[in-house]
Amino acid sequence: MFNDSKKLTVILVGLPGSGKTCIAKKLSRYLNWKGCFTKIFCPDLYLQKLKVLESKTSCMDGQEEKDWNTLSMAECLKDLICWLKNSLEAKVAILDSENLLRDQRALLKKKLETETGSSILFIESVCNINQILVDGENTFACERRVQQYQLRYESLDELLDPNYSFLKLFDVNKSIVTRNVEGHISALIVYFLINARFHSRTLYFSRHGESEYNLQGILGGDSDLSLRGVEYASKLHEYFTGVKIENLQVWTSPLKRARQTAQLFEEKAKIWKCLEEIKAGICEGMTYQQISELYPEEFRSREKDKYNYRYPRGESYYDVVVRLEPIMLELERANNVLIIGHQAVLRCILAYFLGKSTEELPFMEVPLHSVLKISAMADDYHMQTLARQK
Amino acid sequence: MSSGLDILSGSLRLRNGCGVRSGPYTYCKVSEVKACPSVMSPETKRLLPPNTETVQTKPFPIRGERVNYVNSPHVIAMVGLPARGKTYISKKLSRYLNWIGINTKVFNLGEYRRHATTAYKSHDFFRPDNQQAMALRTQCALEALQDVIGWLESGGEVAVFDATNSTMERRRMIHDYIVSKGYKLFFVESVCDDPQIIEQNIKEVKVSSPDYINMNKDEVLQDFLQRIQHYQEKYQPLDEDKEKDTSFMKIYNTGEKCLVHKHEGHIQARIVYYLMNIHITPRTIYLTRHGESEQNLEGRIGGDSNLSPRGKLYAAALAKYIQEQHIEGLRIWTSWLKRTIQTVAGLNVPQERWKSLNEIDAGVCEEMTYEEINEKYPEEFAARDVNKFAYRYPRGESYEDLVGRLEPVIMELERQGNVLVVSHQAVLRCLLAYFLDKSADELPYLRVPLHTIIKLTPVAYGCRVEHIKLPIEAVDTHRDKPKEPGQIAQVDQQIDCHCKNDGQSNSPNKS
Repeated sequence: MFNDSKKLTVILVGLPGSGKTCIAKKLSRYLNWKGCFTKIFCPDLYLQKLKVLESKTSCMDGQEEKDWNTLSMAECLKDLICWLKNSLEAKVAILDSENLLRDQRALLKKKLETETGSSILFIESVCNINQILVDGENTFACERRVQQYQLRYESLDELLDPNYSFLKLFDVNKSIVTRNVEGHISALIVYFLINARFHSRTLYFSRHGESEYNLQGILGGDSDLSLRGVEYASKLHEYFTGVKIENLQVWTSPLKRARQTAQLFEEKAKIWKCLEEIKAGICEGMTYQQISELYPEEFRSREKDKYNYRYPRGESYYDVVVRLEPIMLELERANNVLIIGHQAVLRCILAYFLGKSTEELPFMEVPLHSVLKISAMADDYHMQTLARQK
Repeated sequence: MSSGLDILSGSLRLRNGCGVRSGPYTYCKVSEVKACPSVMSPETKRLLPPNTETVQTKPFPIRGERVNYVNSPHVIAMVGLPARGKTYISKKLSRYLNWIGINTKVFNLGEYRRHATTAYKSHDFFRPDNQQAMALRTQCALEALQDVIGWLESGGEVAVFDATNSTMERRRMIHDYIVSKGYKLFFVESVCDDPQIIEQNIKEVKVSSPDYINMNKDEVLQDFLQRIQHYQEKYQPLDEDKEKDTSFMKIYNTGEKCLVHKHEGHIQARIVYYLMNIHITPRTIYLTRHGESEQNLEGRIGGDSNLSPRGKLYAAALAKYIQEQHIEGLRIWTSWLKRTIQTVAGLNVPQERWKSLNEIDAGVCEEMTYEEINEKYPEEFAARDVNKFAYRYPRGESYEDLVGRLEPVIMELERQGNVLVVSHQAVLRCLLAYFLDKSADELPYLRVPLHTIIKLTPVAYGCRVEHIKLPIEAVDTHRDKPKEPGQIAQVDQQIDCHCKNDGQSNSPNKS
């Protein structure tokens, strides 16, 4: 879908602590999941490496700091340009640094445009309260530095920067201004940022209980739960009533095994057709053994590229990712949701939160009869396996 | 494994302990209980054990279940001077929202005014010091708002209030009125200071307005510019500070710059995304089906067959036609099925494949002819005729599902320039319904004959449609709504004459 799109460099602008890294990480996770290869380049990390090399730990003053900043920025840019230009699949590079001065930005823009041939999109995060995103790892936001920066901050302005393509986020979500935004990827970025939320929340995932087809090793189909599956459904319900989660929502797929697992939650269960298991086309209702015997070439091609392989008359993991889009945006805004789904579908959803690549996605472990909990902090997701039962 | 087909054989397989009482079945007729679940009345449906066929949900609101996704009805109020594209945006937005299943209606204040008085002689009507006219206009606004509330209360989900709403006072009035009833309000302001765009707008839509029936073009232009002048004197654009509690969006110069303030809710985010993607640069969209396929010849639906010899002729003729048109920056979109890819194999133009453009999945009925379906699943066949839009093939899709999966295609089409879409009958019906604002009842019966290019040119508030039939014969796969559900024989005689000349009997094929 992104084959014809021009390469894009996203340059973040904003004071330390205004949420740039958060935005960068979230954006990168979303774009990568959609199939648009994105990478973040952060000069501060280069600075950190340099400091470690030269054994300097405290904040530096004046000239020395300036020199080191210039050096680390240069190194970072070199890597960015190299990656964007030379890698075939690279699509979006995100530069995560303050970029507060107009001249600075003009130079950057010129350099990047000429050397990589990509279009440039500026994303500025304007925060009235700098403490919104207190990032534990942000050791660079020392008071003094922030105050100094604030004095020289030159915000993006439509009159002074007439040909720039930019986005301004005010207090992260409250208001958004866009200017000269063109191109498929840029429009997608805007849509995502409008929907994205940065508060902490928790999501729960579980597969349906063991089904009759699972017992026989058969793919797909629409079978009922086995006895152990029914037991799991009641244990699941017990667990959640015990934990007493506020306003718990339960989302499930229309297939019987999922609905039967969600049955005890009754009215709370919302059915989403897009949560259905991956369609195995002509291989539905067969075991892996049978497939390898009847369609040996198909079997082999699947092993070679499991993510892109599409079952004849069925779907691929990539197709599942595409059809999960609406639910992902709902999940961005939701809190305390339990999703009862299927293996392939859950792999796709979890890969989004954990930032798994397309190579890792189809092999993620999503065992039966366990509940996975994803806790979202500002910019990262942590997964825990909760209950586990055979 | 029990499936929905059990219902067709007359018995309802009830699962143990799932809480369904057999008592209430006495309330409904047995014949209805035997019918396909997709078209049962809601009372009967509620009594059935849930299965894949009775569950009709798509991620975005669907007809009849909207209460889950549209929590409270919305009012979108336009803001802006005349000739800024407010009506264009209102109509386009309403067309899009209705297509994805959100019940939307536009309330145009100009029409209310025209209805209230035929006294429009010149721009003086709009002078700020014209007290009488002012009173009349305010009265019209109140009436329109009352109708808006009436619409929302009777099941509408989104109402678009298309008026200038150019003063803070007016906006405050709307805000108090709407929010007090518990509905959500979102302003969309269109700001434009490019005189060329404004003049273009006036020439394109105002000249033919009922206000100006007796005037010639230049007079209209002058009068209208004066009208704008009157509004401009009192214009107060939406202000982030003074009106900071309202949710709004400002679009400058048709998308050059956008400002979104305090949007809430999924629908508003969707509207913002849509409005940011549309443009008014002239372009043309070409829609065509694949060339005649081998399965078309046999009267079979679905499948993934190759082109027939006549289909290949069409592919060649299509390539020739497209080359002769010299379309600038043309892109071709096809589905992943062989017949569409083969149709454009001869064209040396950038091509993109979309799985979403694949034909509707007919589930268990794939690769069958109508006669076969009627024999094997007679109730399914009849049920489809009763409500073709919502009917879902067992283990397959419905037209409604198609609309859901075509939404990203439409969004991308809006962003593009000249595009040729090569796809299939059901898919093109959905796309056409979007461009031509057809309802869910008309959608499944739109005519999309083989070997015909449908050319869409956006003009004024809608689309101009041209059918270009290339001179290669093909079978007719269209099936009109029969008088009796389940009737095989094609009753209608008014088939497009060019399709009739192929000398073949009009066998009812894929529909």
